[in-house]
Amino acid sequence: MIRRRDLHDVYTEAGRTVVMIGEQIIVLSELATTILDAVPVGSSVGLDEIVDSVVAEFGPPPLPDDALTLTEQNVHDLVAHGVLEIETDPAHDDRSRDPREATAALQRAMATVLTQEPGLRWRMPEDLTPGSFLAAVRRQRIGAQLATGLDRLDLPGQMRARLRADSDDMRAACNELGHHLHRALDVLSETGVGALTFKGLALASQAWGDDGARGYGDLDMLVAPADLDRAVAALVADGWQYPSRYPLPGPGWGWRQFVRTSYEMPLVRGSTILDLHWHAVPARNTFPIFDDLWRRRADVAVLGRPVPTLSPYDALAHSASHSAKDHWRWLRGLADVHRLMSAPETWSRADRPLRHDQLLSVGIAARLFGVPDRAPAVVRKAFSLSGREYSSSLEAQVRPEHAAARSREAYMAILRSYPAMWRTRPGTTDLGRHVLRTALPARFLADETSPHAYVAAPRVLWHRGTEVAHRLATAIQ
Amino acid sequence: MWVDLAHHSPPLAYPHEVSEPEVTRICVEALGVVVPLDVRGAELAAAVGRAWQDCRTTTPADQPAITVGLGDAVADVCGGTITEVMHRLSPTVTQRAIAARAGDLIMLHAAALADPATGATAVMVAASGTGKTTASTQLGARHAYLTDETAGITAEGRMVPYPKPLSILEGGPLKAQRAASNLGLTLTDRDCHLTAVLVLDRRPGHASAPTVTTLETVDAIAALAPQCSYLPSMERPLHRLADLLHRVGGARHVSYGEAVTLEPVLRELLGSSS
Repeated sequence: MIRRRDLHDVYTEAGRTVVMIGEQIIVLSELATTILDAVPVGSSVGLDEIVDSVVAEFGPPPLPDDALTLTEQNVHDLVAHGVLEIETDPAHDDRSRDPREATAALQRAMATVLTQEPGLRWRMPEDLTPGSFLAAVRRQRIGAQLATGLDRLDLPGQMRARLRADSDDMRAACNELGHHLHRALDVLSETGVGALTFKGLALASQAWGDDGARGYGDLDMLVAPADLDRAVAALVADGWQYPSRYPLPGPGWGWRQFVRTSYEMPLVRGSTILDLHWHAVPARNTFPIFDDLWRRRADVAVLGRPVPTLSPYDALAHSASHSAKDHWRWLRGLADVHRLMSAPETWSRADRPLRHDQLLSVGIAARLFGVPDRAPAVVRKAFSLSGREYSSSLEAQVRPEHAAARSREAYMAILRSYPAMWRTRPGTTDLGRHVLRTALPARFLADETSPHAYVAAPRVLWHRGTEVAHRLATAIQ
Repeated sequence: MWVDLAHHSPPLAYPHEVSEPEVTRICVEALGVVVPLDVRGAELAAAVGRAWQDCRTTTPADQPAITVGLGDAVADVCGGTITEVMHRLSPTVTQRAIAARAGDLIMLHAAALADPATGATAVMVAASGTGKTTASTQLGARHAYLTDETAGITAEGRMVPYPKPLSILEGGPLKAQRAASNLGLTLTDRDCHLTAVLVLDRRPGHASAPTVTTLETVDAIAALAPQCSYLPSMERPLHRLADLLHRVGGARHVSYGEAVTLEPVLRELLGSSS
């Protein structure tokens, strides 16, 4: 039986409908409007009744389609978008079960999507509930990547519709993000600032051949440290908002200290965040500098237009670093690593060995999703190296979301950042920067406009020390 | 026990700062809500007063005060420089006002310009950073400036103005806050009413005259809803939007290149002779 969800408001005009669910607005086609009308508020109806309403309105579909299949598909789409629900809605059952089984199934499903072996298919285990599988997909934020291989997965119709709907929503958001990206690149180019875009849309295009394949998130752009002030000025002039509680570019010690010890800052435009980097990673000496990355850059298509990004090998190294930083918790990042390491052209321009933490990411990706055909020897070496970390990564992947959220607490975040930093084998300079960055975050530097370290530094240290003392006193009470 | 150091910073005072700066109360009216600002320090108070002069009111406040201070002041809004404080003050006042009118007004993320002779008003809806302030500054000399940020509209189509300072880029990374009256924009005290809703779509390459198309109601609602504040707080919000759209003959989608080219569109929609 099918019933309406709790819709905040429904407005219909000229045969089409717009509905509000929470804060989300969804426009329904004429067919979807007819289906919604066939499901009155407060009652449940069977699929046959809905089919009757659809046929009464539109007549039977031309052969070989049949009304039942078409209507069922549209009902699944409405369920996937949260307009209707089926009494055994897969997204709302069984979420509290142990996630291990579902995560393991997701790993196997993803391995099937990533495999180069033709004809291989994956069928969802019968003892696994669709709800727990979908919960694992969402916890791992890997829905868009999984959706690229739906044709290899035998899934129940409702789940297929849900994955497709989620993927469509993400693609729509990616479009807006892509327009912002093009504009930001144009603005920087007009200012004479070279910028590489990485992660996000560019990585999706590079690793998956599809700029919508990784869902949406922030934009990430990398400029040369020497161009940072000009880049910020140009982007702000174009409407990006400078963040509160960050030091202002200029001669102030606060800004200089921030640029010395940090590597990125956020600029905001509506609901879009552009992370502007002047170094690609926190431990800057462990990754190539901007000029080298720029010289080796590749172009990838985002919304049909070429944008400059990291070379495939640099992208692999960066994605592998990123996965290691997150303790290999996210299948999403490991799937990126696997895609990049499976492409022969990635290795053809390798100009340096991978770092230890990057090798571990490659090894874990190979263990999870399989060793790619014609993989270079380094992948097998990475496979051998990564046994211990692979086991701990499996534990991390099933850890509940709220445990990750707790890490936002500042002390915990700081503590957790040190093992990740250490894994990159940083030099003393990078370690020193990391200590300073975590000890004196941007908000403590924000109000320091004095150009003199001997004026500003004691004041910043005083404020930080006072706050720590106050917090500890509060905690003890 | 671990605690979160990133939030809820306690009031801090550097030992060198001992004297208490004087506090000036400045009341500003935003979307019909009177928000008192308690500003610490004469220089900052003068800057706040200048920037917010078009919103100042002597009507008694109906909200708790927002405290505003420089540097380490114990304040809701603070910063290292006057520019920073002003930069942070504007969204704080806006947030306070729209929260107070939630569920009551339709509040569109939009610029609003009115015919000063008739009060007929065009609301120009656009996402952040896509041309509302530019349109306001370029068209606001001939049309009365009601807001460049949030257009408040009653169920009857009456405009509730919010002529906040405009954010103008003057060289630094933070935009300066300038009163509309200091930028030569026209202001009006007359009652204004909604006459046109424009969904702005700025395309830098759009060389010719703006392209105007009327949106179907369902599509217009879908375009406007994401730009509405606190829409879910309303009773039957989609119907409220539909009523508004029917009142003005639907929303117009306007593709344009430069804000100045919107002038004839505005004049026609407002029935202005100016």
